[in-house]
Amino acid sequence: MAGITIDGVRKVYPNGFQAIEDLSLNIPDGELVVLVGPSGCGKSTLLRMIAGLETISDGDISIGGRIVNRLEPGERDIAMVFQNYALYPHMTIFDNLAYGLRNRKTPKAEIKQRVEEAVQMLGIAHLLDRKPRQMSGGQRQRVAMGRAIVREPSVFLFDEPLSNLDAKLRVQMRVEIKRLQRQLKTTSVYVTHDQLEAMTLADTLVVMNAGRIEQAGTPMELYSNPATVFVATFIGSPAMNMLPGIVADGFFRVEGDAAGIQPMSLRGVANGPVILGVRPEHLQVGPAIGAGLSGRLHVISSEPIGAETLVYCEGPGSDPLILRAAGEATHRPGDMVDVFAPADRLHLFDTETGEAKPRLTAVQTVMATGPQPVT
Amino acid sequence: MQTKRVTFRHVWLPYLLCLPQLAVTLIFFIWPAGEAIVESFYQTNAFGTSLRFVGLANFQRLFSDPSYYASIRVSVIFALATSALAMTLSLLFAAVADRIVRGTNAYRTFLIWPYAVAPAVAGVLWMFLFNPSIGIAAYALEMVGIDFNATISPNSAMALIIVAAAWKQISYNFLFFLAGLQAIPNSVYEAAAIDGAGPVKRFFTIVLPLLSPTTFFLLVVNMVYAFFDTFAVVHATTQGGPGQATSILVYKVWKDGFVGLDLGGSAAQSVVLMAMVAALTVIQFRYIERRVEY
Amino acid sequence: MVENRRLLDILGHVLMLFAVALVVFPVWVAFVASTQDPAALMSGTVPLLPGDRLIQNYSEMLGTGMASAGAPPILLMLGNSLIMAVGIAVGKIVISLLAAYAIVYFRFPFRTLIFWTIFITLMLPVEVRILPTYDVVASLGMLDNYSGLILPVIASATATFLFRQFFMTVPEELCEAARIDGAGPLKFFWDILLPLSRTNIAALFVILFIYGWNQYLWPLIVTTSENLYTIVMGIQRLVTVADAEPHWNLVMATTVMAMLPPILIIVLMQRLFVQGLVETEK
Repeated sequence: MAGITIDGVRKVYPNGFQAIEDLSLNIPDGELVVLVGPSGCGKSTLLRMIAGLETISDGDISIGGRIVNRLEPGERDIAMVFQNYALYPHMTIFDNLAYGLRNRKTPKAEIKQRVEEAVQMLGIAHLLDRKPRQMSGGQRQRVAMGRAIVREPSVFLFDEPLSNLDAKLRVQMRVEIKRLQRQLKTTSVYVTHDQLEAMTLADTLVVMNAGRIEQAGTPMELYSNPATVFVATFIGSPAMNMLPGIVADGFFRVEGDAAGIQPMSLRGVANGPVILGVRPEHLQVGPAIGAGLSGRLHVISSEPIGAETLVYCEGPGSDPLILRAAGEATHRPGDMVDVFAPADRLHLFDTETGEAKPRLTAVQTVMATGPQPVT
Repeated sequence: MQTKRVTFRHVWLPYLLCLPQLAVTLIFFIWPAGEAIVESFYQTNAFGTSLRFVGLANFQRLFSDPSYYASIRVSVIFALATSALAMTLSLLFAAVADRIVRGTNAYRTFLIWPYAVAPAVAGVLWMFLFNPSIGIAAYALEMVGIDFNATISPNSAMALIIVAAAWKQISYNFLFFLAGLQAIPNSVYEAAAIDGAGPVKRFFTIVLPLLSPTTFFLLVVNMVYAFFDTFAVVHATTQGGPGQATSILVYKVWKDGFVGLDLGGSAAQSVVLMAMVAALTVIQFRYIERRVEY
Repeated sequence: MVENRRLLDILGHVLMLFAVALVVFPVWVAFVASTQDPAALMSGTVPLLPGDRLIQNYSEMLGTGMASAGAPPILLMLGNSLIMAVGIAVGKIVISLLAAYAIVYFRFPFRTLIFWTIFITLMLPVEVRILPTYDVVASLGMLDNYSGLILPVIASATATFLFRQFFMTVPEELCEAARIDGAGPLKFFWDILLPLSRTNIAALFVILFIYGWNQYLWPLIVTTSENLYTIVMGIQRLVTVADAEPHWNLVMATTVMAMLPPILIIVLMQRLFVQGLVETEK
């Protein structure tokens, strides 16, 4: 068992492309860390650098306090689960699981015992004599997990292990991976582009973008207090509504045509452009109750999906404003709805840097007395 | 040129792995090829005792020699006729084999035979069939009034080597055409049928265009085969004769070098042939790269 | 297919039977001729049914050959052909596997140069550079022995090319998984890549065995000793007897024996052969 320390690591490809720039991350022993981000953000590269499949251009990676920069993948005491499983097609399941142990000169009896334990744990004991092509996708996925487990490594690395499964199996295996990781308490790094998978699995969630870490923290931290516009829009589905606007004279006004959004009293924020973010689930249908953002919007369409209904309204920009209403809501295209989001649910971001500003309090947005500002 | 995304790191192992192939290539290919190029600039005297640098004289002599042009003409006729005959027959057989429901595998078993038969043996088989005194094929031709004698008539000799060479190549073409045809999804035929195309029309408007990559590939392969791999057919049957009627280029290289002992001339011919093969190889490589899109 | 017209179906079978006849007939005639009395082949046309000299003709050729035409016993020539064919097939497969592995799985200085040096030989048959190759083999003292018979024919990149194409299709992750499992380059080659290439190796063996067996010009010029004659070139000695009609019955017996081994191999290993030929060579 061991933690992983990544210290000032960079990856520059021979063609000059910088995949990872000066990245540092500490992964405590026994934790499940999920790296999430859009394709090309460097998450897979980082994982493969930990595995030893990619060289490190600069910086250090250590596992369990030992610097592993120059070690072969086989010497790093890690195991990896691949997206396409990478099972050896000509070997039986037993041999697939045993191969790594044999290469390490593990005694025969111990190999047998460890393989049997692993297949019991995964419920594939009856498949030991089969070859990979005689099995379903879900079974192969289990074998790939088994190959990692029998090795009893200090670190598990997962490279989008569930992407090749259908939706139902994916949920099932997600739960299983979480359970196994809890049981084995092995430090794990898990790469995915699916933010839902990331949220549900992670002890620590690391959002990456363009070779950098945007934010790291517990899933709920990232959800409630996204540090940047990127994290705010990446975590949560549908994504957070973003309203570019300007703060002036103690008011926030959306940029251009307001499309029915009322100016909002805003004190304690420097004048200038800002981006206001509000999640669809925090934008309620109904009159303003207390301080916050309010408006009267024009419904474009609505999507009932059972437990809730997503209502698309005309927003100030080209993107619609989305709000989550109750399942029984019956808003029709063309309707006008009053919407409201309380002040403590709003997020403010710097237009230039995309970084979050301190969260608002109700006091800041209490309506100024006097005449309504003209829009 | 690609490698794997992840490669092994090792200082001397890759060189060791390449060594046997590299050694064989250098000794038995690069060295002789280099020698051919050098020799093509020299001339030996009649006794083979002295060498004289003659520059491009060998090539000049070659390209002013009417018998070389005759050989080129013979080779081109032979290659075109062999490719056309072998490919047309194979395509016909493959199209039919692909269409019939039962027995495809049984027919295939028989049709792959000639691939295993040596070109020299194929030549002898057909020479026997066309033997003017006892051959069955010659006898049958005589019945319809055609006098077939490969030792006397240049046309007969040419026909003989074309038939023998094409016969041997049917298997190869048939297998590739059949694979190409089987790769065309059934739904395409069905769509064409719904659009009102009958079997023959379907073949010419749908199947043939879809098969064009295979056809092009086979055309190159057949031309290479007919130009360069058919020495044995000629040598075992007509020996280039009568006269020079079937003296194709690869036969002439050998004959001028080993029988005529004209080393410089033979070397010059080798150099020309190697350039031709190199050009065809490049075409083939480009085809392989492009094929992916289709 | 779409239509199921009976007439078309019958027509199809008729055409296929014609195709089969075209392929089988020359071989059949050869077999028939090989069972005849020499007199039956002196004039007139060849009979279409086997004669009564099957055993006599074959045992004569297998055991003693035809000294008058300078042809050793067939058995000896078959042995030489076998050695040459197996030597070429095994040799080519071994060196090609190693070279293709290095080129696909390693990155090293001069890799591109080595690649092109090897691949320039892709389609160049030995016939094209026959004279200088003969010189080189002669100066290496390799005339009239098996190494001279086999090694120059191995110098071609076709098999290397096919293995390279195949290795490129092996998923990247297999190599990565093996490395994480602690396998080095040789272990990966032996434990993973070689077993995965089994089908390709077997198919190539068939193709190269036939290629080696059917060599003609090369054995013709590098062997002067009758003890090294291969059967395919031996036929030529029988056919080109000076100024006389060849003994066709004995020539055809030799011809049949020359065809038999490669035909048997190709028919018995048909599926492997077809798969290997069509799938790797496109």
